[in-house]
Order: sequence, then C-alpha cells, then structure tokens
Amino acid sequence: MTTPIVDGASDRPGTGEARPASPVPAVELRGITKRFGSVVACDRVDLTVERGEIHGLLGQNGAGKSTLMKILLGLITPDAGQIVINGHPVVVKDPLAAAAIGVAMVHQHFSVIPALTVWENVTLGETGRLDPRRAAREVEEIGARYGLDVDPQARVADLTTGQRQRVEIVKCLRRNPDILILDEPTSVLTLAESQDLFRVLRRVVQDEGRAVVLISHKLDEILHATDRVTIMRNGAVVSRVTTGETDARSLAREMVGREVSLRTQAAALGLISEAESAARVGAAGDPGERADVVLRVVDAHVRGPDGRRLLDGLSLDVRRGEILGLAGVEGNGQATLGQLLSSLVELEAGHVEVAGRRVACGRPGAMARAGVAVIPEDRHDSGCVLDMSVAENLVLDHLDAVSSRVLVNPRRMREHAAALIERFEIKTPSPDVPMRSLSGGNQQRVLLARELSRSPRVLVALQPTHGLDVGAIEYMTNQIRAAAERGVGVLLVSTELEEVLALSHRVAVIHGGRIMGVLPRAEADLERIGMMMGGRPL
Amino acid sequence: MSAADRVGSERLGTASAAAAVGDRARRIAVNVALYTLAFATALALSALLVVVATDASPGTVFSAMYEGSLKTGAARGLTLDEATPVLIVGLGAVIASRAGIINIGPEGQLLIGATTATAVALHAEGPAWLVIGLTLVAGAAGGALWAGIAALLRFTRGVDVVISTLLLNFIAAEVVSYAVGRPWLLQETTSNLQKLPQSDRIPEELQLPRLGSFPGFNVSSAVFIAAALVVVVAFMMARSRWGFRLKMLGYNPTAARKAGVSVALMGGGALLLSGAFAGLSGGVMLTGTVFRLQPGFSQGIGFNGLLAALIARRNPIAVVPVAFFFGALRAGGGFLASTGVPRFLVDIVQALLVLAALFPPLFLDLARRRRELRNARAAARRTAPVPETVGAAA
Amino acid sequence: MISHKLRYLLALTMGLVLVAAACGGDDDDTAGEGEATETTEGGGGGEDCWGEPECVPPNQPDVNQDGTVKIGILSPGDTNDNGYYESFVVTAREFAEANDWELIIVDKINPADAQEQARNICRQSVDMVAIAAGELADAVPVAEEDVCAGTVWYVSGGAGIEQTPYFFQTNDDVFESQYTAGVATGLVMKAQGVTKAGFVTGPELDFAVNAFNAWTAGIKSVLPDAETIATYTGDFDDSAVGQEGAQAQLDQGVGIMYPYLGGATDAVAQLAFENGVLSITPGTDRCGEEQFAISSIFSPGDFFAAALEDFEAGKVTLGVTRTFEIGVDPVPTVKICDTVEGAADLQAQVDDVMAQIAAGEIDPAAEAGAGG
Repeated sequence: MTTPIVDGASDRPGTGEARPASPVPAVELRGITKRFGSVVACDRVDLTVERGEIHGLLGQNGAGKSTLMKILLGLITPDAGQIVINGHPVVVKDPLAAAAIGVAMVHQHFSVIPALTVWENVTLGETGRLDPRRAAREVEEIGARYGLDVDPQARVADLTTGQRQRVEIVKCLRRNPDILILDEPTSVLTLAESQDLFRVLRRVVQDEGRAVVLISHKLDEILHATDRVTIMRNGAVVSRVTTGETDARSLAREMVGREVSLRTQAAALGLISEAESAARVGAAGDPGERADVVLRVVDAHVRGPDGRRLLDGLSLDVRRGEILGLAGVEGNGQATLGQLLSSLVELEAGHVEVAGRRVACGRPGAMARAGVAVIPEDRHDSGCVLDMSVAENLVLDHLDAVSSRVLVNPRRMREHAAALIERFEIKTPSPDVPMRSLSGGNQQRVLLARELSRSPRVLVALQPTHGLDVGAIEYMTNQIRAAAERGVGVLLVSTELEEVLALSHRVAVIHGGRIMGVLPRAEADLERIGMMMGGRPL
Repeated sequence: MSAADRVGSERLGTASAAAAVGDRARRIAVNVALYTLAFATALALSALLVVVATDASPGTVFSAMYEGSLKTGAARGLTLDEATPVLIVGLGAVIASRAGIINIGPEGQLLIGATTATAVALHAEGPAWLVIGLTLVAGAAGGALWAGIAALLRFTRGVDVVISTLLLNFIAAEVVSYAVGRPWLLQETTSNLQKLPQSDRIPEELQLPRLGSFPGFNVSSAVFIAAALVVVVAFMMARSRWGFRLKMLGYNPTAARKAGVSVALMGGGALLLSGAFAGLSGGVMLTGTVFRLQPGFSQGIGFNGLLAALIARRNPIAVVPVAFFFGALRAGGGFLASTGVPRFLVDIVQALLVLAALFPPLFLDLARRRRELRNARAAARRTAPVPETVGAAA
Repeated sequence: MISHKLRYLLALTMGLVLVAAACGGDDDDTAGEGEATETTEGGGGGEDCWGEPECVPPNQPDVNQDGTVKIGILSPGDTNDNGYYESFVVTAREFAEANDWELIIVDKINPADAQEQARNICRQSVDMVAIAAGELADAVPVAEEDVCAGTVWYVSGGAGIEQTPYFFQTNDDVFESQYTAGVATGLVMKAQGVTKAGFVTGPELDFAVNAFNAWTAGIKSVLPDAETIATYTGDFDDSAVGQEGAQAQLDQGVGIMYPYLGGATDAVAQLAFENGVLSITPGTDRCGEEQFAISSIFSPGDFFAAALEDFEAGKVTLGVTRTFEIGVDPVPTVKICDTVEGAADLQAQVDDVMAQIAAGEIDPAAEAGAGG
C-alpha cells in the first residue's frame, strides 16, 4: 500500500535570502520508536521534512502524530531512533534544546495569557532586559512580513480566537525557527481565517526556506495546504505521498485502513459531500415544523465576571425528535450556553422553557430535573466527579433511582451500574474503581449512559466527538441519532462544521453570543454558514 | 464491540488492577518511611532542646511523656478524656472539609458552645438527665450559631470562610471573657470571697458520670458520646444521600451544582454542622472535665481538632487514632510540665510531635503540587521554548 | 465495601475503649498497692488527721517520709514576670536552697487545666503543693483525692478563697493595703504639689476595682480635692497597651502613677520616669531601684515565706486561714522611698495610719465604698 517516497530536492521555489535551500532535509527522523507500557505509540517511524515545504502529518486520533512531534520537541524521550537536523544528528533532551536547534510548535490549546498585551505575551519567559518599544516594533515587523496583522498593544483578552492564534505564531516566529509545527490549527478558526493561515504558512516556507509540519485529521485542509503528506496509522507510517498526486478518498483509505463508507465517519473526517448528506438526513425523517418545541431559549443574556457579554440575546428552539446543529467558531458563547443548560449560570435577562414550562435558570439541578441531559465539552468540569467511583458517577443527578429517602442502597446502585455498563459497553474493571482510572472514551460513555438513562426530554451535546477515535465517534453519533429517533430533542453544539452538517435536521450558527440564523439542512451550504460564522447575520 | 476488544479490555482491567495494588503498596511504604523520618527528627530535636535548655536528660523527658499518657490506667483514662473533645471537633472539621470548606474557627465555636451550654446548665430547671441533654444541645446550637455567622457572610457577601472563621475565634474569646466578667451575665456568684472572672461551677448532678476511679483506669462517659458520633458520622457519610452529595460537592462543586446540590445549603449546612460539633465539644468539656466556663476554657482543643482532621484528611474513622494521639500528647505534656520541665519546652516538644504527624501528608501534597506545576510549566514552554540565546539572536 | 468499613470502624472504636479499660484494670492493682504503701507510711509516722478540722499533718516538712522535701508550685502566671508571680518563686527558691529542698515549678497554667496539673504534681511525690493565686482555686478539691494523699496544700489566696479542711491559706485585705498606699500617695502629692494621680491596671476585675477605690479613698483622706484616673487595659502583661494607657494619662496631666499590673509594670513605670512623673511600685519593696517614690508591699512571696517557716517548723495547720494585717504583721505595708524629700517624716504619718487601721479606728473597706 505504500506509495514510494518522493525524494530529492524540492521543486518549490523556496529560495529565500535567509536560508538557501539545500539538498539536506531540514528534519530527518530515523526509526523513531516509543512504547508506553505495552502500547507502541511510534513504531520505527521515518519522517523527512524538506526546507521550503509544508509537510502534512495525517492520521486519526491516537495514530502517533502528536507523540512523534513531542519527541521532536524534546517533551518525550524516544526508546530508539535518531533525530537529524540539517544533516547533523542531535539529541533533543528538552524543549529548550529543541528551541536551540530551531524547532517551535503552535499547540492546539494556546498558552497566551489573556490579561497581558500582545507584545507582553510575545516576550513572556525571556530573560534579560525588556525593551517594550523594541518588542512592539518586532511584533509589527513580523506581522507585516507574514501578513499576521495584530496590534502589539492590544490586550489578548479582547482578541478573537483567530487573532490569539496569530499571537502564538508571531511568538514562535520571533524565535526565528527553522521548523514550525502546528497541531490541528484550524479547529478554532473560521473558514476565512483558515485560508489566511494557510497563506501565511505558504509565505513562511516560500520566502524563507523554513519547514512547516501541519498536523491534522482533516483531509480537506491537508489537500489544500500541504506539499507532501505522511500518513500514520497505529503508530506506524503507512504512506508517503505528494499532495498533488492523490485525492481525498485514497488519503482516507490510508488513514483509516479500510474503505470509508459510513456517512458519519466520513463526515468526521471532513469527507462528506454536502448534497449527499442533506439528502440522507431528509430521508431519515425530519420531524418537521409541527413537532412540539421541547427546549426554548428566549432572548438569553449572560455577562461574564469581567463584564463581557457571553450570551447576547440568544434565542433558539429545539423540537421533539430533531437534531438542531449549532455551528460556530470556538469561543462565541457555546460554553456559556452549555453552562446555562447545566444550571451553572443565571440569566441576566430572558428565560428558558423546557416542554413549555419555565425553568429557574441557575438553581442547582433545575435543568436536570426539568429533563435536560447535557454531555459537557469538558467532562472533567461538570460532567463527572473523577474521585468518585464509576457506579457513583452513573447516578450523580438521579440518586432517587438507587436510594430511599435517607439512605443510598449500595446493592441497587451496583445493579444500576452493572446494567448501564452492559448496555453502553463501558470498559471498566469494576463499577467500584474511581472514574479517574477510566480512559477518556469510557468516561464519555459513562456520561452518556447516565444522561440518557433517565429518559431526558432534551439532550445537549457539546463537542461530543472531540478527542475521540473513529470507533468512538461512530458510537457517539449513533447514540445521538438514536436518541432523536426516540423523540428526544437534541441540541448538537460543535465547531466541526462537517459533523453538524452530517447529523442535523436544522443548522443554527452562533456568533458573539447570539444566533446568526437557522437553516433547514437542505438549504445549509458552506458559503452561507461560513458567512454567518464570520458574524454576518442571515 | 468485538469479542477481541472485550478480551483486550479485560486484560487491560487486570493489568491496571495489578498496577493499582503495586501503587498502593508503594504509597504505604512511602508513608511509613515519611512518618518514621518525621517522628525520628522531632524526637531528636526535642532531645537536643531538652539537653541544651535544662539539666534533665532526654530519656526522662520521653519517659515522662509516656508515663503521663499511656503507662498507667489513670494516664490512659486521661488520654481518652483529652482525646474526646479533640475527636468531636475533628469529626466536625472532617464534615466541612468533605464539602470542600475549610473552617478555621472550631476554637471560637467551641468557646461559644461552652458559653451557651454554661448558661443552660446554670439556669435550666428539670431532671438532671434532661438538663445534661439540653446543655449539650445548647452547646451544639451555640457552635452552629457562631459558624452560621461565617456561613451567612460567605453566602450573602462572599466573604472567605477561612478568614471569617479565623477572625471569629478572637471575637469568641472576647465574648467569653466579657460574659464571665459580668455578674449579670455568667460571672460566679457562689463564692463569697473574691469573685474571679469565671462562671459558677455546674452542679454535681449535671457532671457526666465517670467510669472507674483513681488510681485505676477512669474516664468520663463523654468518650461514649464521641464514639457514637464517630459511628453515626461514618455511617451517614458512607451510606446516606447526604453523604453522597456532600462528597460530590467537595470533589467537584460544578458537577454537584449541575446535579442539584446547592452550594449554599449543602456547603453552608456542612459549615454549620462542623460548628455544631465544635460547640458540642465545648458542652462535653463543660459537663465532662472542666465544669465551669473560664477565659482559657478551650485550651487549644479547637485547633487540635482542626489539625486532627487535617491529618485524617476526609476520613472520619481516621480521626479516631489521630485524636487519640493528640490526647496522649496533651496528657503526656501536662505530666511532663509537672516534672519541672519549663512550660515553653513542653510546648515546643508537643508542637514538634504535631508537626511530625502533619509533615507526611503535607509533604506528599506539596510534592504532588510541584509535579503538577512542573507539568504546567512544561506545557507552557512547549509553545514557545526560550533558549538562553534568544535575546542575542533577536 | 461500605459495610466492611463500618465493621472496621466498630472494631476499632470498641477495641480502643476495651484495650484502655483492660489495661486500666491491670494497673488498678499495681497503682493501688503503690498508693496504699505510701498512705501507710504517711500514716505510720503519726496521727493521720487529713480532712479533720485544724489538722496538723505529722512529719513536716518531709510529710511523705521519702527522704527528700519536695515543694510543687502551681502558678497561673509567668514566674519570670519580674513581679507578683516571680516574687512567689524567689522566696521558695531561697528557702529551698537554704534547706536543701527540691522545687518543682509549673507556671502559666490555664485555670481550666488546673485540676489535672494538680494531680500531675502530686504524682511527683511532693510534700507540699503551693498554689500561687486564687485563679487556680479549682485545683483545690484535688487535695482530697487519693493521688494527693499525704501532701500539705497551701494557697496564696490574695483576697482569699473558700476554706476547706484540706489546705491552709494566707490572705490579706486589699482594702487595707491599698487604702494605706493611697494615704502615702496623698502625702507625697501634697508635699510635691501634685493634684492628679493615675492608676493603670489590667482587666476590670473586682479586686482591681476595689484596689482603685481604696487607693482613691486613701488619697482623698489627705487631699480631698485630688483627682484620680483609672485605666483598665484588659491585660496585666501586655506592655504595649499598658504604655498606651499610661501615655493617655500623662497627656491628661497626671503627676504620679500607680501601675497596678503584672508583667507590664516596669514598662509603665519606665514611661513615667521618662516623663519626670513619680511612680508607685506594687508588690515588692523596690525602693532601692530606679526612682520609685512609694513601695506598696503586699508581695505573695512574703506571705509564702511565713508559710514555709511554719512548714519547716512542723507547725502548718490545715483548714485555717491566716490573714496578714497591716500595722500588725510585717507585711503588707507601705514604704515611702528615700528619693522623696522628707521621706522619714511622711513615713511616720503613714505608720500612724497603719496603726489606726490595726486598731480598727479606720475602716478602709467602708472608706473605699464611700470613695467609690
């Protein structure tokens, strides 16, 4: 299945003044192997990244991409293998050593500090005398050179997510790296912002002969932005191809290891054709306009402790048996909406109705009692109690099921847990082990089991497939669809547009704490949704 | 899930179970080593101090500590008597810490509890058993009232509980000293000579009966109140809905709120309850050992109970041996003082031993935090590592 | 899992109680035997009269006949306070050294802990338990317990505590001594042309209030128009608040100051000296030191010395109170220091007043009542 490695000098016009292209690759990883216990994260991985190219590193979650890059960054020590930089073998013992040899990485979750200004964030951690004016000038210079327009005096808290990412990139570029690694950079960006990012990256490699590694599981952007692709599966490299000589289907086949046919799975990979998806959802049975509204949020206003408007007049309806997809760029009020529906915040104005009855927002447990089930974005925050047992986590908010007025019945709790563990196929050595000891996917199943087992009217799923592998994604999406078919009104909040398009009957877009518009699935095309995500109302 | 997956998962389960057993053994070994080290250091330092500051030998000091706390029946009884109020306060503190609330104020709550208990004991009429009961209830109510001030401040004005409970300790001491200095409040009336700033002694029939008599083993029946409370608290924490929700609140307040646990009701209730335990402890001291209210009534029992809970962490059963340890320390320290070793030295020896008991959990906690901090720092460095040469390069 | 924990808990609790009880049972016998022998020995030496009225314990001072004389002192205050409590142990030390006795001093005792400390000191096989102040009166019933059988108990009571047959006590009349101190103050004020006098003390306790009233009455008997101010700082030993109070009085133009205090006495007196104001010293005779004008002598050490003399002579009688009377006994007394001009003349007038009090011609308590 392996495509021959494209070798030799780059055919890109990557002859910048600073670093002339040389026949020696910028990075060569040879036979890198890393085991965690019995799990082989990287199995004799070879990777070559040339100067002047954007190199895609494609693979599912858990394929070993991140481990490989952490080894290059000195965060993980490999068991075997060699790292060669510019033709010289090196030992990267920590991130400082990596920086010294010119490796920098933009992580999926930023490390910028909101309270500080842009230039302060950029210089953070440096030793020696601080010259604010010079730092600000440098930020502007870098911005001008790469088209990374950002005001050095702005407070990071006031920036959009896309702008924050720019700060991260400026921060890395100021260190003048030879090799820049970006980990899933587009998950926080609008379509337009993603396009901008790729333009910047192109400039970085073309004009200056640097190397860029783009880690992604989205076929679309790999095809769009990279020169060559290395595909990993189960810790090993399965294929190396030149981007121009391949297509999405064959990339997907290499990544998953089999023909990709499942619609949702394909959607999760960014593969779906819109028309096809719309047609199928229609066929699956739109509950239609007449179905009862089970969840109604009316003109919700919430302000953060710092006075920022988190929800700014948000209104939406979810009908019985439908999946309403809520698309939007991360950080536009989705988290607050999740908190509102978990009884964690009070409304400044507006109200919430569940099945026609008003719910006292912010009163502990009110939403759960009204029949709102929530699969939170961060399950460790409001989803579960890591230090309590699996069995206890399965009854957190409906203790009535296993207790009398005063006492909890341990036998009934164990039976209840056993039944759910069986039904939701939760892998745990025993119901009595602490939640903490379960894998992320299994913790997610515990949450799902608990929330669905009390027959909710509404299911709110926030980024439900985030960080899950393909099998788990399939399980989760099937459960969500099954819930809707049973008559539950589902609100699916996701930043993965493809996921929203694949599952929803209707699509709403959130921006700046309000709904930009709602479209039936059939009318939801990428262009209109993209405009709304960028802040233009329908 | 395929059959192969299932097998895999079971194997994984067994492996992690085995790892858990190994982990547990390692944790126990680390704890034993730390405690041994801590106590050895404390004893060595004590010995050094005794040699430097007095002409007594360290051997006589430790044998005096032993003689005063464990050697004879009377000493063991005294240790139990001293441990009883510490245990009751400690149980209350465990309840608060289970809910994630740090109540620094048991000392003050104990004093106020003792004050209300004294008022009831000196003024209530009725059969002795009833008045004793009312006295103890009044003690608990007084303690809860005092903790309630902190709860009220917390849940209406957002005042930090640590600070309010700490400061209320000082106010409580002033309240007691005011009450026992005023003839129209609680100052003694029976003495026909000098009126001291203290209350009347509570009548003989209101004093809790003692089992056994000197010089043999003898102990106040208050110890049974404490034992009963241990059973009740441990049972309620393990088996009741209240215990379940308390635990949820302590471990994850956000998840608890989502699941319908009100932080104000549950957390405030836990704070009140811990205050009630401290106040009850004051009532028990009044009816069991001290018999009258005086300015120095609390004798640091509130703080001892707090420390006991700190060592026992969230486990109500673990408070039992820790309280016993504190009781032994108090009894032994009193005896040591009576051999002529200066009071300050006795205090230092006691403090060193308490520190030794506190050190291992705190050390492990600190080690864990340092590890987490290091990980957090590493995460921060990942994005933008700063080489030493960056200033020059840029 | 849960029931397992409960069982463990029950076992642990019951275990602790039972073990303690069982071990206690074992020791009942041994400890009991020990006590019994001691009591026999104690009783063997002479008539065992404890608990009977006016008992003179046999074999004083080695009451328990173990070959050494041991005195245990229980003090509520710091015995290094350079004042009241220190004077108590200084006397005892002098006696102990002269007679080769042993001394155990336990100070800073919390009144709530007094009983237990009394039991502990008895276990050190002492011959005498001396209680330095009435605050520790709760320890007194321990004298009746077996653990303290065969010990002589002495209480330095100040104004006195309720008498039982198990101890003897010395006390003095605070009205007598402080009235006399007031008379001396008034005489000095008159001689120096001072009209305002300040009294700085700790908490507003009965005896302190009485002392102030008696002192004021004494001053007014000499200078009817004199003005007196009392400041209650709330703490006998806090030098800072003491000086604060004194400074306030100095600002009001006080010309003579009486720091009626414990550990804070010296700090207040020092402040008075710095401001050129006369000062009275409470408790001990300190006329030699600094520039004190008057020594108001009611030192507990002096009362204790008298008690120890009796003890050495084998004459201590339990169940009695000895009240030291001004003008009759050597202490309490008031001394005008040589630093004051015409001290001898003034002293003669003070001695005269003391004689009148002794003779019952002046009733200081009644005077103080009128003065207050």
